[in-house]
Amino acid sequence: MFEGSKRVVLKLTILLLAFAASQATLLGQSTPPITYTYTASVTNQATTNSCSAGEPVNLTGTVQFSYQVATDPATGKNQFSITASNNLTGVGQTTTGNYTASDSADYVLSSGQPSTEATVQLKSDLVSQGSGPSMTLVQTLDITLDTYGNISAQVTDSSTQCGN
Amino acid sequence: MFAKRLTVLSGLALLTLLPVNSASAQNPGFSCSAPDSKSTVNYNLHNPISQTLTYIFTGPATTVNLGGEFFFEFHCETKANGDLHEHWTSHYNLTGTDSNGIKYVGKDQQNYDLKLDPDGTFPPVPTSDFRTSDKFKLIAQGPTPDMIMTQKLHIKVDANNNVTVEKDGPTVIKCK
Repeated sequence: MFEGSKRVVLKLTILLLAFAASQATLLGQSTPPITYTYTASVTNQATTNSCSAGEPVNLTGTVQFSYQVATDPATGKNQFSITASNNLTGVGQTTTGNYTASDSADYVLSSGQPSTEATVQLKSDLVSQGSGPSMTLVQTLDITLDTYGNISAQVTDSSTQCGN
Repeated sequence: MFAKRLTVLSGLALLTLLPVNSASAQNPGFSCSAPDSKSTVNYNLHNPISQTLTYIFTGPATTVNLGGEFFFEFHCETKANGDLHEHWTSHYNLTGTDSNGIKYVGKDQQNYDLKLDPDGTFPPVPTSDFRTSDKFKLIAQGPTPDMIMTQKLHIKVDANNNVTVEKDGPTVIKCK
């Protein structure tokens, strides 16, 4: 008799938990925004060098854009959250030495419109693996995205500065 | 709430409400000019900085006393298709000395161009609400490693041309 009661309580608990989980899903409480990913390829893109001790570098690799579209709870506007991450190798045009860069930056744009545009800078260390000095790489990224998750993104400029 | 948040964050800078000139006939405020022409009005926001930050790279914690300013420059541009864009530049002009007497210099900038958002009225008034991830260097004067600071800012421009810049989260310090 006592064992039977325990089984009933257990079944009721499972049913309650299943009901609560289904309600939470229906209400969207536990549904995180979809994370979209887009990868832009960089192939032999030459940097403009403004560092007297540095050199132009030809870059190859990727810039990955991970982004989410949500609603800003404070304003009710669309909120576009973007993380841009690069993973690059490079060859110095003077020393033929190798370089690497790997870094990321976050940007959040709020808009009452279904799409938004931004031009942002992604800064990263361009680390020398050879005789040339390390530098700071500044990539200019043009980004257009909408609430459907469509994105257009490209690297429109790459330059190097002293000071790594 | 903002002030409370700042007290618990080991941050670099305090950025408070930074009003700019309000829109008027004599002063175009943040309004844009005719399509396909750039606004000739630049706005500057200077914010003096005096703050101490503590970091641990190797060995004991080190404290750096920083002085200088964050300086923001922005203007509006109307594209040929009628879109309104805001050009924003964050300037960092800082110097500091750590507890070991090592001097640091931070002089850097970061640029953004963002499509402005109409406020829903007619004629539309441009507004803007975005969060940046500014990265700038603190270069040690000597063999000591440099530092990379990443500071997220929340920037809002309302329909009355008031610009608010808030620090958004703690300053992230990376040793080089």
